[in-house]
Amino acid sequence: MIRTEEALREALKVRAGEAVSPADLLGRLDAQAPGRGRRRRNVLLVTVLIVVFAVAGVAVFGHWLYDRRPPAGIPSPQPTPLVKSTLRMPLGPPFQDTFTITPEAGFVVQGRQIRPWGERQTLSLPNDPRLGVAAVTVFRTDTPLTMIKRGLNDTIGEWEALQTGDPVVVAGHPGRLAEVKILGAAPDIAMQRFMRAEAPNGVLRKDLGPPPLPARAPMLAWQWAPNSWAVAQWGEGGPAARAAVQRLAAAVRIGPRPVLVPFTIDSLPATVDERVALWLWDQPATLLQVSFGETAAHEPDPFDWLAGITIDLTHQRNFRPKPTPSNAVISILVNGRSVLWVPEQHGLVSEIYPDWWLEVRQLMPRSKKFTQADFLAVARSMRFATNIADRSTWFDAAIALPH
Amino acid sequence: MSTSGLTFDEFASAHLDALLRFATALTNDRELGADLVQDVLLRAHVRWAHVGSRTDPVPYVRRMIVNEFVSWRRKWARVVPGVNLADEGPETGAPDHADRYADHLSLLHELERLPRRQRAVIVLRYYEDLPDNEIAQVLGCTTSTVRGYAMRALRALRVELAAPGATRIGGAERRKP
Repeated sequence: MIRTEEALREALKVRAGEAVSPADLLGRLDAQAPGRGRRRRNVLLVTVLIVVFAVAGVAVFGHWLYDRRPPAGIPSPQPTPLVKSTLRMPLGPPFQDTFTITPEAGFVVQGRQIRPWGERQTLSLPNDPRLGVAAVTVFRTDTPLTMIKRGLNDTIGEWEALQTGDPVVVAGHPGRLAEVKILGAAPDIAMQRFMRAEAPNGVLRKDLGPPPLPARAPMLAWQWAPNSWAVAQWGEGGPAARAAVQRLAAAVRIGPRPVLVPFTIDSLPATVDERVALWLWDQPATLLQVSFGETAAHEPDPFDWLAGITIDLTHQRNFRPKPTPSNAVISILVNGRSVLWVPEQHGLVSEIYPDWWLEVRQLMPRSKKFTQADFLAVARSMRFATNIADRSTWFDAAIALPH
Repeated sequence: MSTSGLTFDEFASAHLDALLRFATALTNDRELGADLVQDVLLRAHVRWAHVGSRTDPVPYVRRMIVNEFVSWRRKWARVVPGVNLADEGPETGAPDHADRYADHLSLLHELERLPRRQRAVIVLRYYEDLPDNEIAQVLGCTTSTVRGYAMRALRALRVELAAPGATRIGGAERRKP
């Protein structure tokens, strides 16, 4: 099809109209701009007040809901009061899979993230690519679902809608199935982007971002153990997705399994802690990313990994940073390879295996909390699998990574 | 107070919406666009004594946005999907609204696949309506280079230029009445 300049102009105008609102960005800028201490303190004060009122409100509302709870056997996935349980998730050290999907169900795992709050796997159904991408999230036992409301996991969408969803049973466990509106403005932007990137032909990126959005998409939450919730959701709506999300939930097997990684890390700067995020992606590009948060933040923060140290090992054919006056080669070897210091990314880059690139950096380098020496110390403490293509030479993450 | 007479807050309040729209058109992604503007404004805020000293800081900030976008290398390339448009179905029948909408999406996907500088030229020319000489200033290249970028980009996008005799208004080709 031959297009006109007017069509191009119109398309750009439409896309530009989808920009986030200035108010949203001003909020972010206020939180980050230097020299705005008073405003930050005010925002902090307001936030604290909001949280205090929200907690009080949730407590009152929870008590009210408790009084109106549905008949026994069909629990409502309302925010669960935080109860200390003897059952721990993810049933072992942080670097273990929380769950698997039975292969006969036909779903293909495209990537997964293991975070302090639990684990999420992103999947597709090759037999029906029009359905887009699904996600299964299994939360740790002690993760109160109120966190979801607070933005820890906004891609879940309209959690409240589930409370009136249809009762279903998943592997003998009670749950609810509802059509919910998928929220596009996820705070976990990186995750959202990866989900977009892996979607067939990039279609999902249209469907996760508002607007335009599909009307509604199915989500199924079930209580797999006391105080323990899992959620399966699909990116697109329709009867096929409703059936598929039930098949997906039925295919989930919760239980520990080692996670293999191709490197070990023995040393981290003292200012990072064990709160980690681990991403493993096979599609569209192989990416392994480990991020360590800061010790300063004590509240669950979807962005904690952005401010800490991140270690990436990525397979990329067309990436080869050249030494320049600003990109200096450091006369230190990691795995027998030289290391490049890239100031613009405030981090180190090294080709550990052919076309496999290691980066040790701070994803949000504005504050430059870590020095070149910090990154070098991490890189030099790393050991790498003898053969990246042979997973039998990889390491058990529960032993290989600090936690 | 700077020469422009604007404090940073006043500048942001007055121009943030337009900058966000521009960055969204440039990146073809609302979140990336917001991130881009956020990065640039944080730097502009730190250097506001310099940035705000200009008579009109908008072109300077827009240039910062374009430079930041062009220099974004792999951290964004990794997360912005490539699209295989060859898989899309054949054209059938006369185009209706749905076809036009689909073509918009397709056009935006193809725009996403253009090299960064070509994409910047297209957005500056067709969204911001800048003339080629101003685009050249933004990108730090010559006007003929801008024309070359535009020509290659339009060819890749299969966009037909307006008929000969068109008059340039702002940066865009418009037909004479």
